[in-house]
Amino acid sequence: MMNKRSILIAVLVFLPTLALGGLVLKNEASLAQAKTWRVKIEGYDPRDLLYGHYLYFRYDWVWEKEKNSDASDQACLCLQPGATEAGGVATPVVSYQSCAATQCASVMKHGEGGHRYYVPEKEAAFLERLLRKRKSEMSVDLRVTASGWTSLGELYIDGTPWRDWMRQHSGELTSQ
Amino acid sequence: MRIEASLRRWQKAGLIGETDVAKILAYEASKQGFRFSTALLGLGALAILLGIAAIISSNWDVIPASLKLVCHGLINLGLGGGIVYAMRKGSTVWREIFLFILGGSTLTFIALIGQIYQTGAPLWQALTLWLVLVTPFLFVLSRSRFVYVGWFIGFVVTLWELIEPVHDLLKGVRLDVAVYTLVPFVLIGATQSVRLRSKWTGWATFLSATGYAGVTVAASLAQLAWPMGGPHWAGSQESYAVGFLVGLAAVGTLWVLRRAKVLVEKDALIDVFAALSVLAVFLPLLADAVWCPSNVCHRPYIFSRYDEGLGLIGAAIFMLYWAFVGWTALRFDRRGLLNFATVVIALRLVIVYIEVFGDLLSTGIGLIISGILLIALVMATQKLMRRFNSLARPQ
Repeated sequence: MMNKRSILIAVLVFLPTLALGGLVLKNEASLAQAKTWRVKIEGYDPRDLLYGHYLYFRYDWVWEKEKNSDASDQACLCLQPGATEAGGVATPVVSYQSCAATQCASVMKHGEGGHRYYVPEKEAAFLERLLRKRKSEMSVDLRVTASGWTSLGELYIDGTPWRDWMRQHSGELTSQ
Repeated sequence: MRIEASLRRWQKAGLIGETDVAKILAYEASKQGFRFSTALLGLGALAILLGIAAIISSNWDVIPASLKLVCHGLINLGLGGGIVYAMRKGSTVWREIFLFILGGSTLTFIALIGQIYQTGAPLWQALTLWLVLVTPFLFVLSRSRFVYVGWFIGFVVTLWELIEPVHDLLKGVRLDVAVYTLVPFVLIGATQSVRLRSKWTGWATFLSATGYAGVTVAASLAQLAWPMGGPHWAGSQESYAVGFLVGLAAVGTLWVLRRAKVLVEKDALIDVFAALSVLAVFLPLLADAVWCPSNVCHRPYIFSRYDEGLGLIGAAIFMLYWAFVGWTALRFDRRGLLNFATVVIALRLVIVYIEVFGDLLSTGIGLIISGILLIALVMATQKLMRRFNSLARPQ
């Protein structure tokens, strides 16, 4: 029979892991409701000790009008559907809006500046070089929930999922 | 064994007998083995933790994301089970090992979630979540210094990462500096509470010491920062002024709580030390911010060579401050801290000569003078220690 102290100890040591498990489930539920966009990306100057262990990029947005830097105080990006990519995923056209804007298909914060995309360590350096040299067009699936939370999905090279692209070009890669 | 020299000295002074010496040496010899194996267990735990972190960092693509999450979750639950089992069996060593690993693996689990969902969340969010999740069980269950130190390192890194978001959030109301000023005083106040000390002596003693260490480091770094041109962002004078007042208010609050016996009783000198530390941090920063608003300087001509005149003043304040640290250590019978303060003053004196004098001849003369001063300082300290020892010896 567990006494109060044993119950307290069990709660203290198991609760953090269970809370993180709950976070995982919450993320899964959010992603099920999220809207997916295909966005082109370009290299971003890294200032990070862990450079080489992930891709550091910025979004190559298509702006609705000429980008108005003064409006960046609006704090959020409004995403509206633009052209449709293969697989029915739309590329967004963006503008600065208030974060409470209701006319946007998606609203997200922190759309500018540098972002990380985690890839396996042994591929990270090659993909980072590919991104910076701009020889191939790279894009990413950006998933945005109704609350503005974002998560990155698949990475594409010339429209092909990156793992398939690496397999297709394995001969070129081994010769480098 | 170091303790043997002390035991022989006490035996010679007639304080203990031959049998006592033998018993103490035998007991210490048995503990050495225990301490060595405990240290190895600690190293093993650290290696396991670093291994988990490295595997996650490598982003081992072969394993599906869901399997990585489930495995890591099960490892963490297993560690929790290990803690519960160790506590039921009364095994303190294994309890501390499992607590240390669980503390670290909670952070690696957070990193894994961020990596799998590619949320791009800033590091401060992950670290803050980690701190919130692990602090309760570490505080309640751990009694070992290496867990305290591990947690404290995480705490300091979290505070460092929070500087920018706190500044962005609070700069409008000039409270950004004030928040960070309060941190060491909250640590001191919370851990010197009479009620908390009686329940968690280990944590309370450790964190109280880190609070005073934080205040000392801030006062020391300020003397290095302001001559080199400390932060001069817009509104910094107001932020420093608010921080200064908040610091003094915090010291006053500690003094009042000590008088009300809410905090443990200590010599008033400790609160004087805290107040002088606040003055040492803020007065030079405020003076410099007034002279150089937004980095445009209007200093008097005597200081027109920016790095010389102000550098010397900063060094002088630094050494005076550490002389006070040494004197406070002497009053509280902290000989290790007194020796440390002596070394710090000596090093700063040597660095002053290297900073101020450019050519080899002047530097050489300066180093000889500082070497003589250094030796004089050490001899004076030794004389002081001998006098202190003779006063402490029972008559």
